[in-house]
Amino acid sequence: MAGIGGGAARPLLYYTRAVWSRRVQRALVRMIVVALASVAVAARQAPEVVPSAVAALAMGLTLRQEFYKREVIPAIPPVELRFLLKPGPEDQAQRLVDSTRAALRRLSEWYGAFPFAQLTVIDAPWHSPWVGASYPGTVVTSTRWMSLERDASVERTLIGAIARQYWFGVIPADPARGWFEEGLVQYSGARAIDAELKGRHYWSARYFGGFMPFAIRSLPLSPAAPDARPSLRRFDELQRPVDAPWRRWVGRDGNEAERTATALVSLERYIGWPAMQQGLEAYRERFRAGTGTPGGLATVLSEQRGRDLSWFFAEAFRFPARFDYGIEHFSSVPEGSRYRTEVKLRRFGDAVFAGTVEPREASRARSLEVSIRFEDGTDVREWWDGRDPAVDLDYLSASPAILASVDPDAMLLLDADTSNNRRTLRRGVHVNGVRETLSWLMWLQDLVLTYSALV
Amino acid sequence: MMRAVRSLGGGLGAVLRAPILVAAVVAVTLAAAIPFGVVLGARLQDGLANQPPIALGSGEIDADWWAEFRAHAGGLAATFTPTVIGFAAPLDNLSAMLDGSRRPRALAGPVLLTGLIWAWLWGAILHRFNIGRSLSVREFFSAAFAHAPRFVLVSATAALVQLALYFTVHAALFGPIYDALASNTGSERTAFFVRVGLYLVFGSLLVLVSLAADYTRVGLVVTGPLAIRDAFATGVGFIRRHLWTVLALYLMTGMLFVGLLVLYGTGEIYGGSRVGGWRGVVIGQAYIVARLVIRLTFAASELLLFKSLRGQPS
Repeated sequence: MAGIGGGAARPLLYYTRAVWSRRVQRALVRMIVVALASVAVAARQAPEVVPSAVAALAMGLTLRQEFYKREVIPAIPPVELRFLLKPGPEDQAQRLVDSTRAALRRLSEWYGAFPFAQLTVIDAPWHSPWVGASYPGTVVTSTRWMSLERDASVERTLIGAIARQYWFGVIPADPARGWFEEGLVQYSGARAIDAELKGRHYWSARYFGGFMPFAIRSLPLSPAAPDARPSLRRFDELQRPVDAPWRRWVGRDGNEAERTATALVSLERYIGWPAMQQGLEAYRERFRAGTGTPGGLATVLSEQRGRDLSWFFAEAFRFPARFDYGIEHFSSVPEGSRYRTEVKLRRFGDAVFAGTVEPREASRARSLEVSIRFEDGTDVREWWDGRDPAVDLDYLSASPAILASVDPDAMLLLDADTSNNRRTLRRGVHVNGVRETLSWLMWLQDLVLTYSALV
Repeated sequence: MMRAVRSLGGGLGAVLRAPILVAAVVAVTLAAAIPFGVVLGARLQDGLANQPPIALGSGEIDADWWAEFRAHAGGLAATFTPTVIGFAAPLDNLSAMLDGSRRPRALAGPVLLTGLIWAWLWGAILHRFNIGRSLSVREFFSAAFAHAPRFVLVSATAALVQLALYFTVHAALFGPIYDALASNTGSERTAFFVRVGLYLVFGSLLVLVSLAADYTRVGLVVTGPLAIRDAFATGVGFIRRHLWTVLALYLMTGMLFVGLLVLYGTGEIYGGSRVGGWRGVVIGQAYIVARLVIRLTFAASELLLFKSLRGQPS
């Protein structure tokens, strides 16, 4: 009985199954590709309308899901975390889990509750174009096969993508205003990266086709310096690729988004982090209906501080106006038994750091600090009303002046050319400069040895 | 194989017996780099004097200052990146060579000058190893200048061939071929090994051209003045007849270089901050000296191998 239908029928059955199977597979693949293409288009045009699970599916297409972790962290309100991780060492997965929890906790402390009920973290393949993507409820990063503890690129990507989550739905989906949201995202991302990774991430690069990492221990990216302000304001992981589909603003000449981020760092240095943090938290709360504008942030911060800050926003976001305050002339020459010191300060750019909304005739603002240091150690501090295009300072002193500096505490990071901010009359040799020159010399010797070995 | 080993040993012995030659080569290559270092150093001191640090109270050059400096830098100053520090430097250079990364045009000057200096130095170096005794200053300069025109031609020809390889073979291997192979790999590890395989393919072509140039120079020194075409034929003919021995010698010397890199890299990774700062600068220069010793050893070994396989007394 077992032989009935055997012989010719069995191969036919196998053939039919195989053909059917291939046809069905092809049809299914075609359907999935079409569906994912639609999702990708939708994600590009209006990311907030794409359900996170579908977006995750779209971006995780090539992901070989091996590890699925679901946990709830005690944020307010609770956020359910889901991790779609590719095969790899457990410690790498744990780095992602820990970083996600820490970033959520910190960002929620700063800016208020996480805006979604759940967050899906996708560990995409290393060459995925979606690394760094952030859509409502979904972020994408990529752990690497070769990784170093000191190279926190994966964490930076993840924290930057999570920071973006907090600004979804605050600013209208108006392409003309995308630069403000993008700048806000870059600023808050860099701020969170700096705070989260302080003292434990270093400058690093990947060599040999981008596979082999190497971190330079003598160059920490967020050093534990005496200055508590964030030291680095730009991270490649936040800005590259500039034309990524999840960005609200694609880099153009002058890059308004990058300037916005720098403007916000300058503002933070001007008003202080506590005021900035409270202002941003209140701004998110007030404009959660999606009506936020740069002017709205100016209003919130002005209300909180009791001083109108609209002068800052008017100039900082007037593109392509250029801030450039500097020293045109600095001299200190003997005059009798004393020294005459002349400092000519000049506003080279067309943007004005006014410090007040009042007219110039009404008051003199303390906008920018100027420091004159004398040989006997005296440090004279003056204020420059940033609305004045030029200021002349004149001193008669027992000791010659040796250094003049505009904005000595590097508050106005918007200054487009900081190389004219300091002038010195006693140029000493900067020991670190000599050391790094010798490092460069070694690099150059090695480079020419490498190339000359070929011929 | 044994001949290669003996040649390598003989070459190393010859270099160790010529400390003045090693010192002279170190001094000349350093002197060739110093003018460029002075230009960079002046720009850097300017920057440090006139540009305030982003982070207050930081005695070190911080990453943001570095980024700010580079944003306004041009020419040689634009090549001052963190990758010049310590072991990152050889990694960067080796990686750039294999990946065919475009270098800033400002580096054309140093590379060209060094190429010319080495073409000039090879005459004296090979002559010294050929006669097996110290050279007076006069003999050194005389040998260097006597061979320089031909050696410049050899180096220039090799450079053109290498450039052609980069623009054709490298562009194909690491363009469409690598992209196609990597996109079909499921894991990053596999893609890396695909890339290593392509490095080996391309690297072997670079090595063959480099060896042809080397043995052409050796032929010119050992057999006396020849027309450049005859010298090239002699060199290439020698490589073809003794390919495996020549390659074995190359690989053994290459292993010395890899060993040096491993030593440097391991020392820096595990040494941490103890090998940074000024100590790092000294270690870096020691690495350069060791690299020069390996290069001289290779040249001496090639010459010994050439003479021994041609039945000439060494």
